[in-house]
Order: sequence, then structure tokens, then C-alpha cells
Amino acid sequence: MDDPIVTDDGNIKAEIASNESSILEKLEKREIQQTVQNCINALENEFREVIVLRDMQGFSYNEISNMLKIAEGTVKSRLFRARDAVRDCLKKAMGVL
Amino acid sequence: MECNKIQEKLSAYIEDIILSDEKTLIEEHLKSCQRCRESLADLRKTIEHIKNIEEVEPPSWLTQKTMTRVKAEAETKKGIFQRLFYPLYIKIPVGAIATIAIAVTTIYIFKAIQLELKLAKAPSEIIERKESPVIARGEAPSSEGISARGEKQSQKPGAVSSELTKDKIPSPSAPVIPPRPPLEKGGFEAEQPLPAKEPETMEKFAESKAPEPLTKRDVAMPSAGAVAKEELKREAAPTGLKAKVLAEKKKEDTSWIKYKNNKLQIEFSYPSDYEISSEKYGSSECEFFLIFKRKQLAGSSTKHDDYAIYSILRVTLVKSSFEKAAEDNYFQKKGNEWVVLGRHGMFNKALPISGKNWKGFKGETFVGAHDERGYSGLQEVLKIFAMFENNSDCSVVFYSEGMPEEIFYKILSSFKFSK
Repeated sequence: MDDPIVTDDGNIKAEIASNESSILEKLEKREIQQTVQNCINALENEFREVIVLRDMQGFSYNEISNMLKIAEGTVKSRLFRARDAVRDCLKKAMGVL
Repeated sequence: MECNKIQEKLSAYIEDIILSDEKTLIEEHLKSCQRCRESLADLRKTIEHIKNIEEVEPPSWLTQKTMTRVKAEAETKKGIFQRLFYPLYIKIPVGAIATIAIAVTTIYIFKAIQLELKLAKAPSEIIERKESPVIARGEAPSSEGISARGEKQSQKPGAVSSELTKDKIPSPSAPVIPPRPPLEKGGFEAEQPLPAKEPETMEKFAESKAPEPLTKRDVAMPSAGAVAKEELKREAAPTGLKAKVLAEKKKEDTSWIKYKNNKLQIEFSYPSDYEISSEKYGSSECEFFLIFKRKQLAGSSTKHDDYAIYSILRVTLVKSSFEKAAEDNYFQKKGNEWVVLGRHGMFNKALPISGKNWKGFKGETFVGAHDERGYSGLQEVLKIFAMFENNSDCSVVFYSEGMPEEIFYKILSSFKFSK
């Protein structure tokens, strides 16, 4: 199993297949991330901060409400509108999600 | 339910933070509505995408830049602090100088107050002490007597310790004429006669007087300096009151000024804290008077201070008899007694005093005191009258109000006719 693979140019050492995604996949992922990032950046400040705190950094509604000194209901509605905006933005940029 | 309302709730639905009946409603709607299903899927994907964003590593310069700003801000703050709190090498000397200045000021103020208190206290204390034998003999002081006297009064006259009596008797400064019979009658004020106590105290008086070698002074006045020193010892020793000793010392420190009148051929010395306030010659040979007042102490302009320093000395030349001269100077004969007159007809018992070539009376009474604001109330003062009799020529009368007794006697002992 560990025998070298014989090719025309000589022997190649056998290697274990990598679990890493392919370069293409990586590129695609990076592009999507860039798009998402751009969409988030395009948001207004008050929407951006809730989406970053909730979806990227994973704080709870209660924590966000304390941090931003706003009611939990406000956090919810802002989050919904922020997500909606990001979704629209991504759809425009990528066509299909 | 309309689609847009459902879509509004989708976000909460995804996170499962929604009421269960709403949830059922949404789920039922989703089954029938394609659009909303897509919307939900898109939302899920969006969230997924957002969650997948790699944490952006902040550029290395950001930390540096932020910290620089923080430092800059901190330094400006420190600048203000520095202005308020100078470095130690400036702070310590400044602090030390301030402390010294405060201490010096405090001591200065304290001393000034002390001095005034002493001056205010000293004469009254001496008067009190001098007067106590009188009280012991059953004398009732004026009803408005000061509280200290009141306390003494409350003791049984007979119970006044013999040592107190002894203490008083050899007083060289108050050379008491062997008490005249009428004076021993125990109070001239009819309301308070205390004849019963009299013999007892008389006995003590005689008893303590007899073995005292100091009684010699009754006959011969020692020199002024000696009198003052003796006085000082006598005053200070038995009481042991520090303040009093200090007050006495202070008194001895005051220098004396010689007054010489070539026209009248008299001379005597007076303390430098007194000054001549008026000097008048009359038309006839024996008409002259001289008034001294104690100088105002610096900063003593209040009612209280004036009250404390009220003190005058009057020197007059007269051509009248001793009794007439005494009556001209607030002493009066009532029956067989001599009394000292005060304000509103108040009077108090007078004690006869005498020296080498003079005699007179002393007594404490109330007078109306005035200051620059007008009448300031009743003040108890010691009035002393002394006369150098000169039958062939003018007699010289010394009269003082509020002057410490020993100063008065010192003035008398310095007096001479320079003829």
C-alpha cells in the first residue's frame, strides 16, 4: 500500500488523500464569503451590529439587548430586517442561494 | 395569514423563539405557500452563509493604532493631573512651606488670644483673691457679683480655710491698716448682717497674723521692685495656676515710664501700657489732674475687649482734707463705714489701705462701661484711692479704676515729691 506508484517519469511516493476541499471549492467559498461580507457591510449600522452580534458572534437576544441598550423586541425586529436585507443582497449578487 | 406577515416571523421561527400557536399557524401556511417555503429556505441559507464567514483577522497595525490613540488620550489626561499635582520635588517643598505658614499663623493667633485672655483675666483674679478675706469676714458682696464670687459666697464664711486667710494677711501690696472697729461689724448692708460669724474669723485673722514675720510690711513699704517680686511669688505659688504665672510674668515684662513734672515737683513711674490721655493745670496752685488710660491692644475693638481692658489712673493735686478728697473720688462715709460708690447709687464696702506715707481706700463696685459703640453694660471694677498728704502744700491723690492692684501700689511706691 505504501509502495511508490510507478509512472513514466519515475516513482511517486504514495500519499494519503487530503480531506481539504478542492481549490475550486475554496475559491468559491471565499467568493461567497466576500459577497456576504459586502452585503453585511452595506447594511446600516444599527442592522449590521445586531446581525454581527447574533449570527456571527452568537450572543443571545438578552445579551444583545443589554449591550446595545435596546429592548429585546427591537433586537428581534432589527435582526429580521437585517437578515431580509442580506438575503435580498445575496440573491442579487449570486442569483441562487 | 398573509405571506408578508408570515415572512416577518420566519426569522424568529428559525430560531424557535416563537409562541407555539404562531408556530402551528406558520407551519400550516408553509405547507400551502410555495413562496414562503422558498423564503424560509433562503433565510436559512443566508444565516448559514453569515455564520460561515471566517472571523476576519484584524490587521496588525490596527492594534498598534488603537493603542497609540489610547495612550495619547491617557497622556492628555495625565497632563491635567500633572498640572494639579506637581511632581514630588515641587510638591514637597510647597507643602512644607504651606504647613509652616499655617503653623506660624496659628501660633500667632493663639498667642494673641492668650494674651488678651490673660489681660482680661489677671486683674479680676487678683481682685478676687485680695477680696476673699473680706468675704471670709462675712462680707456680702453686691448681688450682681460675678459667679466665682458667688461660689465663694455659698461657702460658710467660717469654713473658709485658715490657710486662705493666712495667705492673704501678709500681703505687702495691700498693707492693711489694723482693721478699724466699725469695719468688723460684719457687713454694712442691713439685709445681710452676719454678726455671729465675726468673732471666729477675727480670731483666725489675729491668729494667723501673729506669727507671721512678714507683718513688718505693714509698717514699712519695701521698694517697688521688691514689692512686685514678692507679689509675684505670693500670687503664683499658692494657686499654682500656670496661666496666672504667665500673666504675672507678662506684667513684669512691661517696662515702666518715668513721669516727672518739674512745675509741680512730683515724679513717679507708670507702666508703658498706659498712656496719658489728658493733662490739665488749673488757675490756682493746687489744680492739676492727669489721666492715664491703658492703651488699646492691637485688634481689640470689640465690646468684649474694651470691657476687659477698661483701666484708668488719675493723678490730681488737691488742697483738701483726706476725707474730702476720698469723697471726691467715689468713696463715701456712711455712718461709721466707708463705702465705694458705683453706678445708680450702688455701693460696696471699702477697705482702708495705707503705705509708707500715704493712705486710702479700695473697693470693688459696678460701673457703667462704655465703648465706641456706646454703653456696653455694667462692669465690676476695683477702685483704689490713695493720698499723699502734705499739710503745708498740695496733697497728691492717686485714683484708679480697673487697674490691677499691684500696679497701683508699684506706682505709689515710685512716687516722690522732688521738692
